Amino acid sequence: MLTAFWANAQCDVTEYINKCAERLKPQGYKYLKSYKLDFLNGSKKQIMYSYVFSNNTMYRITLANSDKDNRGLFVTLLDSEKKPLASSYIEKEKKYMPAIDIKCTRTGIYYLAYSVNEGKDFCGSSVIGFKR
Amino acid sequence: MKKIIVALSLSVFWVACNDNNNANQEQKKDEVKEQEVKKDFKADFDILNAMPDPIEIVDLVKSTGIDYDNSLLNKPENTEKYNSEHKMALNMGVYTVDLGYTNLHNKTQDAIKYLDATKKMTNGLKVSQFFDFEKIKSITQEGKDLNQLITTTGIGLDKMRQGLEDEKRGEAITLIVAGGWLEAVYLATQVAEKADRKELKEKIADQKIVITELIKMFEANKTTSKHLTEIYEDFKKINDAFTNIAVKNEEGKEVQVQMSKEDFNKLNQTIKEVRNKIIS
Repeated sequence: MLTAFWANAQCDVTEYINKCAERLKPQGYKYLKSYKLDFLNGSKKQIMYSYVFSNNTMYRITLANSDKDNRGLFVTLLDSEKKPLASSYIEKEKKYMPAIDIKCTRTGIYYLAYSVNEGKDFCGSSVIGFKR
Repeated sequence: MKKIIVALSLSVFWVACNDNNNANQEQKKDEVKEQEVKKDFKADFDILNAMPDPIEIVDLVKSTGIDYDNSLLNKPENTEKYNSEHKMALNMGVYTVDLGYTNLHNKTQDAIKYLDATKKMTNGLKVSQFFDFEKIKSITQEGKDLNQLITTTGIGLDKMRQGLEDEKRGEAITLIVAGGWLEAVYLATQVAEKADRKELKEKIADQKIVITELIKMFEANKTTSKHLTEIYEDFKKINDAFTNIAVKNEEGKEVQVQMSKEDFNKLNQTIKEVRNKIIS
């Protein structure tokens, strides 16, 4: 019971989801879906979700953790064959973007692979928004 | 004579009570059976999570410029009819989409009614704790911040999905998703009848991806209970109506929607029939 409580208390993402949702506002993206990213203190290396994106629609995938620049946390967008299409981590500059924008040109299932590259912040969240 | 009347009315009362008791016992049996079904239901939570949110369809419907029409929506007072968990789950999906439709059109009075209907369904399904209804109601009444409203409702729906997954209530979550999807496609097909928009037709045709996944889930559970057999058969009709419909999207070429007038009419009719059965 105590262990379960401790595990839950460690990754409360309410605040991060609100932060992610705020990042949708500036360009008029509407909220679609949120994900809790609990890497279980680092024992989980990657968290994968999938979503059906639609043709002719713009999507924004936002990220947040306890760091104001969400350092360490990034997402890679993969197509239905799991071929990488975009990433929020710019390796050259070692920069973690708070969001990525994509324009979908083919309706289908896409994968969102979340990872923590550095640091010890293994709890975060991600929100997808859309606009046409 | 008076005694006979009293005796008769007593016996009628007794029979009525007895019928009532029987009905209650039957209902309890059904409830127990539904509880058992919850455990047996095989749900693919990854697939359910991947389903596109119906708000995308409703947003596109709104963009056609076709006037707001609340006669298309399920009546809020129909909540009284939904007593079983599966009916509540299906119509919870329906009402959330109707709520989204009223909100996107900024129809505050109607939105409040659909919010109440949604709340009733969440109470019945014991998932109301995931929603901040006071906050949603206050944003709706102010009618200023549509994005805030969509976000707050969306966060509640996500928490509910997670909660149902944690409680292993796969049937409830599957039916909520299916009901919401059906209502959104119903609104899209109804509006597409009036507005010949390529984007809307493409969106409708794209739904083949969703029905393909839903039907797999219903097929895997069709023998679990009588109502799931019926739901499978109804959604199978929709799946069949999609047979000739396709979207061709080749690199460098314009997207081609393969959907003849007959295909559309058949789909439109099937969607309408199944949806009307679900809300009845």
